[in-house]
Amino acid sequence: MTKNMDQNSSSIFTTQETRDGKVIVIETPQFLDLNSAAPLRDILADLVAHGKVHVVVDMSETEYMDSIGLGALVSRIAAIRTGGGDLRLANPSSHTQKILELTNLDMIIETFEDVNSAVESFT
Amino acid sequence: MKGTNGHQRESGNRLSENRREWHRLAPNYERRHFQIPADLKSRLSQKLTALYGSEQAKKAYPELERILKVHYAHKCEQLIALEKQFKTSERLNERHAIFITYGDLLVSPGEKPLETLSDLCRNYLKGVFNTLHILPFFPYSSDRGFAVMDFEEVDPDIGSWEDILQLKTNFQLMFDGVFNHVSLQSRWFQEYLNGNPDFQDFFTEFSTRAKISEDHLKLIVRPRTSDLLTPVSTMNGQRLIWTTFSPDQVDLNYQNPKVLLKMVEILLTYVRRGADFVRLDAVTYLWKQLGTSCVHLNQSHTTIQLFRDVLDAVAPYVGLVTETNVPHQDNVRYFGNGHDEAQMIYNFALPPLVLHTFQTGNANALTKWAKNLKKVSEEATYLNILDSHDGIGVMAVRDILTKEEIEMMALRVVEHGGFISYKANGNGTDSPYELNITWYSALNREDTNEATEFQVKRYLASRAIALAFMGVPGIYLHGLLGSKNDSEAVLVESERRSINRKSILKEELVRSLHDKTTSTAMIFHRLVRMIQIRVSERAFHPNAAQRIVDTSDSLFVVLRSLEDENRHVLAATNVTDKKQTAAIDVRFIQLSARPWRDLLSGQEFKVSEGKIKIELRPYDVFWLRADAI
Repeated sequence: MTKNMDQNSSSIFTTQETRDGKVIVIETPQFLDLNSAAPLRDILADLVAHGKVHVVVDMSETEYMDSIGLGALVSRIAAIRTGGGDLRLANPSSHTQKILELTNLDMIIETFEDVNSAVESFT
Repeated sequence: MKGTNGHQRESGNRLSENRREWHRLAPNYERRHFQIPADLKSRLSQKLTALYGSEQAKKAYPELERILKVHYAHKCEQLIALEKQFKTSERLNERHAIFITYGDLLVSPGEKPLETLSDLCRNYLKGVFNTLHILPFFPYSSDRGFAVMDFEEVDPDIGSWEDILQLKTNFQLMFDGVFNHVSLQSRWFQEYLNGNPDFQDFFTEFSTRAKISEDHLKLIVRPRTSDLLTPVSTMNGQRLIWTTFSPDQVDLNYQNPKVLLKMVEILLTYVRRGADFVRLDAVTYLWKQLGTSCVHLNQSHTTIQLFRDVLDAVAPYVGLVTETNVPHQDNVRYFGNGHDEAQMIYNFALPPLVLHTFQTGNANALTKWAKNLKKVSEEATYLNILDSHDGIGVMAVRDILTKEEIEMMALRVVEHGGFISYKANGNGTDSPYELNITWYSALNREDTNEATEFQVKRYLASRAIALAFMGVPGIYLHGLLGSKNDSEAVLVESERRSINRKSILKEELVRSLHDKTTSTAMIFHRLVRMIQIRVSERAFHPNAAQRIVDTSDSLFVVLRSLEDENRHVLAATNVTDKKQTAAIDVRFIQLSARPWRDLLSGQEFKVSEGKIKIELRPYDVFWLRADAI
C-alpha cells in the first residue's frame, strides 16, 4: 500500500495499485472539499502523466463532498479517457450519489457498490 | 447604403427620436382607425385557415383585426409618420450589438435592480452596445423567469415598467416572449383549475395516461428528461397536463385560436411597453400533434409568420428573434424565406464550434462549417453569441461534429468544472443537450500555471471570432466580465444552469473594474474596446459579405466586405498557444496593393507579391482593414 500525504496533514489520500499493476485505487478522505481538493487534483494529474489511466476512487470513507471536491474528482476525466482508461467510483455515500445525480455526472461516471467490483470492471 | 467614412452615422431611419414617447398609455379612438390592407387581410386569413380550418379562421379573424386596431390607436402621430419612412433592410447595421442580462443580475443595496442595471449601462455600456436584452422580467415561479405568472407586469422585486422605459433612453430593448408555456401559478392556469370555461382549452390535457400511447410518447422530442405529463387536480377532476419543460411550466395550447389571439395581444403589449425586438423563447415546441415529434411543425412556423405579419403591419420596426437550440439545418428554417419569419436567429452552432476550436487548437471544423454559411437576406441575419444565461447548446452541431467529438468536448467541460444537461431523444434514449459552464471557465482551467494575462488573451481571441462573424453580436453579462464558474450555486440551488447566473454586487464590480490586476478588469476593458472598434467599422455590417479564407487549421480567418463601398476587413485569429505565420493572398481584392492597418493595434501590414504576411503570437487577433483612400 502506498500512502500519499498532502501538505495539510488533516487530509490523507491512500493510493494502492492492484497486484497486476493495472488499476490504481485511490481512497478519498472523510471530507472532499477545499482542503483535500488540491492534493486529489495533483494525484490524478500525476497518474495521467505516468500513463496510469485505470482508476478506481474508493469513496467509502467520504461523508461529505462540496463543489470544490467534486471538481477535483473529475479534473482529469477527459485526459484519462483519452488515454484509453476510465475513472470509476466505489461505494459513494448517499450524499455523494445525490450530488452525482443532480449534476448528471452519474451519466458519465460508473459507480459500484464496492472496490472489488469496480476493479473487476476493468478486466 | 453609401457612406463616406467609418464613423457612426444614422441610417435613413429616424426611429431613434423620442423613443420613449411613441405609444400612449390610453388609446385614441377619435383618430381614424387602422385600415387593414387587403393583402394583409388575405395573408392573415390564410394563416388562420392553415392553422384552424376555414370555419374557425372566419370566427377568429375579426378579433385579430380588432387587436391590431387597438394597438394602432395607442400609437403617437410621430411614430406613425416615422414608420412610413422605415425601411426593413435598414433595421440592423454594424452598430447593433446586444448586451444580455437578467434585470437583477446586478444588485446594489437600497436600489431597485433595474435602476442598478440602468446605472451600469449608462456609465459603462453606452456607445458599446446599442440593444439590451433583459431576460424575462415578469413575475415568475421558477426557471429564473421562464415560468411567467403574469405577462403584463414587471416583477416588483426588480422594478417597474417605468424602469424598463428608462432604459430605452439610450438603448433599443429586447423583451422575452415566453410564449410556449406559463407558470402553473399563473392566473390563466389557476382559472383552468377553477373550471373557468374561458380557459378550459388553453392547455393540453389528458384525463388518463392511457389517452396518449407509449408509441406517441416515444416520438416526442424534448430538451428535458422529466415526465412530459404533470398530474393536477381541477374542479373537473384529475387531469394530466402537457409540460414540455418542467412540472411548473404548462404548455399553452395553440390549437385553440383564443390562445393565439391572446398571445398576439401580449406581443403588441410588449411593443407598446418599449420592445424593439421580441425574442420568441422555445418556439420549436409551440404546436403539438400526437403522432409526430412535436418539434418544428409547420404550424409552429405559420404561427411565427403570423406574428411577423402582425408586426410588419402595425409595428414594422420591431424585430423577431427565435430561440431554437436545435440542429443547425432546423435552426435556419426559422428565417422562413428570409423575409417572412424571424429577422434574427441565434447562431447556435457557433459557440460549440468555437469551443471545440480552442479545446483542440484546430479551426478545421469551424472553418468548414462557416464556409457553407450563406447570407440570409437584406432583412435577416444571425445573432452571434458564445454564451448566454443558458448553457452552451450542442444540438446545433449534432450533424457537424461527430458524436465522439461532442462527447469529448463535454468531458473537457466537466474537467473544467462544468456539467452536462441531457434531453430525451424520443426513442427512450437521452443525449447531451447543453454544457453548463461559464465561457471563461470553458476555455481556461484554474489548476494550471498559466498566467492570467495568457488566459485572458485566449478568452479575447474566442470573443473576437464571434464579433467578426457575419451577423449581430450578443454578449451576456458574465461573458463581458469573464466570470468563472459558480459551482457551489449548482449544488445549493439544485440547478446546473446556476453555474452561470451569479448575482453581482455593483460596488464590488466597480472596484474590480478599477483594479487593473483583476481578470475582470482586463477582460472588460479590452472586450469593450474591441466591441467599440467593431461597431464603428462599416465592413462589420450584418449584410457585409463574408468569405472564409483558407490558411491553416491553426488560424481562423474571415474577410468581411462591403462591396459597394470597397471596404474590407480581414479578421485573423490564432486559435493555438503557439506562434503562427500566414501569407494571405489578397489579390482578389481591388485594394490589394495598399497597406492594411490593424484596427486593434494600429500596426500596418504591406502587401508583397499579392500577399499579406502576418505573424501571430499565441491567441493573437488582427483586424486588418484596407483603406479606400
